[in-house]
Amino acid sequence: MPEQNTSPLSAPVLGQLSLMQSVLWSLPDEESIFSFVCRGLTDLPGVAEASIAASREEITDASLRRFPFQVGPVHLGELLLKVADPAAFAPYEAYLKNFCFMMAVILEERRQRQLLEEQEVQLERRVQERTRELEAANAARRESEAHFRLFYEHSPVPYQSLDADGNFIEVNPAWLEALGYTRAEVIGCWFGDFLAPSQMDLFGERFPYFKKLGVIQSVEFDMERKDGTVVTMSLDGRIGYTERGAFRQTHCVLHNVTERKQAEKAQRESELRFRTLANTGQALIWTAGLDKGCDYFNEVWMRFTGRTLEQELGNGWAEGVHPEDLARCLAVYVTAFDKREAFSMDYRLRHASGDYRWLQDDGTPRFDDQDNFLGYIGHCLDITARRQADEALRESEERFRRAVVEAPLPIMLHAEDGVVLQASQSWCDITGYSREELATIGDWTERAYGERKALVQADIEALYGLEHRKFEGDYTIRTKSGATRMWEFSSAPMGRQSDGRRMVISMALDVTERRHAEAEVRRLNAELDQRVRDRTAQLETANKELEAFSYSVSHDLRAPLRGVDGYVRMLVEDYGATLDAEGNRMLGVVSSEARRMGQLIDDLLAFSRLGRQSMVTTGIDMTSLARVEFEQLTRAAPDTAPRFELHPLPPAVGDPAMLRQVFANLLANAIKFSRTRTNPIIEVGSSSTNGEVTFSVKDNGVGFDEQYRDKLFGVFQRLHSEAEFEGTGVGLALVQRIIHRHGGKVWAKGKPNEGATFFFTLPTPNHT
Amino acid sequence: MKPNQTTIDLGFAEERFPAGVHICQIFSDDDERQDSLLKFVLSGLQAGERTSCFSDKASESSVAEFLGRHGVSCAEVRGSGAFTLAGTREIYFQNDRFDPERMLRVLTQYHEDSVRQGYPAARVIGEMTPEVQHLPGGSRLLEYESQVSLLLREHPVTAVCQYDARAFDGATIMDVLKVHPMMVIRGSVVHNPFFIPPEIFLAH
Repeated sequence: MPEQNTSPLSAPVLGQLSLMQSVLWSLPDEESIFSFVCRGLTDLPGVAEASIAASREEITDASLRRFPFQVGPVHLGELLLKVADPAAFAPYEAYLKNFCFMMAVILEERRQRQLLEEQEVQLERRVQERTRELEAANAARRESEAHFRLFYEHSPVPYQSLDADGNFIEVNPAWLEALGYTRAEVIGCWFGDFLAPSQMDLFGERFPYFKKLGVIQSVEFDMERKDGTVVTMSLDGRIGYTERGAFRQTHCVLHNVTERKQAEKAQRESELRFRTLANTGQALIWTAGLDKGCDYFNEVWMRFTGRTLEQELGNGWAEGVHPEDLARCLAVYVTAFDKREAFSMDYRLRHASGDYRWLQDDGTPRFDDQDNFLGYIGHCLDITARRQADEALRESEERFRRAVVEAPLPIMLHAEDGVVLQASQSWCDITGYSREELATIGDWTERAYGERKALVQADIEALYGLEHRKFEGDYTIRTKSGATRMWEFSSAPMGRQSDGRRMVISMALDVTERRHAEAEVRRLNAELDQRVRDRTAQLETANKELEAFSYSVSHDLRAPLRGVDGYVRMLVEDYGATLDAEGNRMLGVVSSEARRMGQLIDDLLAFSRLGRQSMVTTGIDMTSLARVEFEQLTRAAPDTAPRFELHPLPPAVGDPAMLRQVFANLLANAIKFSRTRTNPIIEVGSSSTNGEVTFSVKDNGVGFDEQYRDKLFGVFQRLHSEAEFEGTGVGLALVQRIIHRHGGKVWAKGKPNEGATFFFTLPTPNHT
Repeated sequence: MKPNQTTIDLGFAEERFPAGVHICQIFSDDDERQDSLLKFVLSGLQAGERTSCFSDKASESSVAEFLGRHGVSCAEVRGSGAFTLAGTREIYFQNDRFDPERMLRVLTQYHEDSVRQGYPAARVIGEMTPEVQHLPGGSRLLEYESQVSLLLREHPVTAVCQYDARAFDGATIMDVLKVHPMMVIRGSVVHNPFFIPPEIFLAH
């Protein structure tokens, strides 16, 4: 090569690179290409030497440049250039890379082409081998044809032979028997005429292929028997050839596959039913094949996951399993699968909504009629709600358990077989027994009741038949320390355990202290009653003695008084003229005081009698009683009598004499304290509230100051002086005592100089 | 006949070229070789040029059959001396050696005879076989080819040298390219950028 122009990008050099690429296509092999290229590139400006390396070797020589032959991931060696003049070489470096890429393309294309050619050669060789085999087989077949025909003539298998037009040349007895014809009805006839009408054309289409291929296998036709029934026949056969290789006749055997076809149809229908069922229910259904990969999911599954069948097939379904459940889920599945055992597991599967929902997946191995393992079928139910309910139930049971255990009362939950299911801490705390020591009701009765356990045990056993809560009453139990406690038991039925055992919850109140307190109260009450009775008797005795004393005092005092009064009057009569005026006045005072004292004694007697007097109760016309009493009081001086306004009064029940005394005292007071008025008015009325009648006696007299009203009804208590208004101070005390004995109340209202009103109540007759 | 005054049809290319071009054809396919050879011969004979073919692969019958199909009687053109058909060895390797000087004389003679006999032009197609590499004088092959380029300036015989890429190694093919100003590649005639003018090549 001549000296090159070393200025950048000499056109001839670029032309050389380009031409080399063209020549490469014509070179026969890689060796030739590599030597061609190395020789050509040695003349490249700046290049001293060119070589080819097969692989990416370590390069230590700094002057060496490497250019790989690389097409995509395929590495086909590399070009190594020893560059003597880097400056001269530099402009071509990029072009050389392109060149090497093109070279790699050519090399790869060649390799592919070579591979193709080798494969074609191989294919050709195989075609030739196969052709030789077929020729040999044809020869053998021709040889066996004679045996073939003889064999089928006596065979139990239906045999037929057709000519080139499809007409019967031969059928064997088994054929005639299978289809119900005689030989004369068949020979010479067209095979198509023996087919079901829908299949006549099919034979016309298939027969030329049979003749062309020389063989048929398992070709099915629906054939019509002479009796009109249709049977499905599967035909296997071959063409018989003349010695020159021309078509001579067909040889076919027929197999009645009607039953198999029906079975297949039934299978298809069954499959259809399965799919219909699978897709209409609530269950998510899947099946898996022998490779453990899933090969079917029903529509319910697809709707649930919102994914396509393609996504779910194989192990795709596992993508939807919750990451926390996946390992366990796969372990259960694989373990069961390898053992061919049914399995049931719960796991979370992602729902179309994006939420995970709990499924219960039950898988069962599938087998065919011959017990060959086919894979698995499984169905899943969405048990999210059930799990939530279970969870809620567990929480509820836990709450109940805690409620029992932590209850401040002794509580025990026990089953009819005597097992103590739960006992509260309080039970243990009070009795001193641990839960282990109270594992059964037998343990409890033994420890708590000792010799009485049989009786208590019978009571407890009766509890398991309870339908409602039962109050059992007090039982004395013995604690571990030997102390006795009084427990008041109540029990209630708690339904049944999941295993059917009936349960009862028994609660106790430790009433030891209360019972002691109650006994103490009862003892104190009895003592108090006795003391009251004793005291009452003492008081009654004292009262009687006092009344006897008052009566005797009053009675005994009246005799000397009468003596004093009598002797004063005798003194006035006999010696009045001898005495001066002052002497007569003094005698008058003695006489007046003696009478007043007599009145006092009478009033006191009446008052004290009232305590002892028995009441005679009867219906009383209160209006009439008030009127009579008023008239009685004013009869002596009717002209000075106050105006009397008597409103109709309701009848009352009581002692008539006593109630007359009430009106007499109240009306006398009213007359007395209103006599200083120019128009004295006395008003008697009544009102009725809440079953109680209130009677009132009102006057417009001098009235009284209410701050002293408590004194009104006291014995010998007076608000006015004797000089102002005469009286003993016993009248109102008597009124109060009478009203109290009738079960009523008495009170007064009034203001100084504005009159006074006295009220008293009596129960209405129907309430007494 | 004067050099470079007329253009000729090579038969296998669309383009026409001045008489006396020196072309090498690198082929790797028997059909490609045969196709070029027959078309070159036919176009030469049809143009009335004196035509020679030196190849072991061109059987007389196949050439005659091809020419006959295109209205050219092989026997006739051979009889008249317009067409020479001979084997490679017979022409290039006489006495079991490759003698560049003799071959150059043959070419010179061939051209001078053709001119004298009144042919409008002369052409030669010959296939060099790898045997040359093992014969005495074989190492002078490139020198010979370069000399041919020089000779054709005076004696413008249109020359096509066929090289079977399957028979020569790649480096030799590259060397051969350097001594031919034009080349046929995949059916196209192109100027050869590797060509080293004979004055330079021979000086080295």
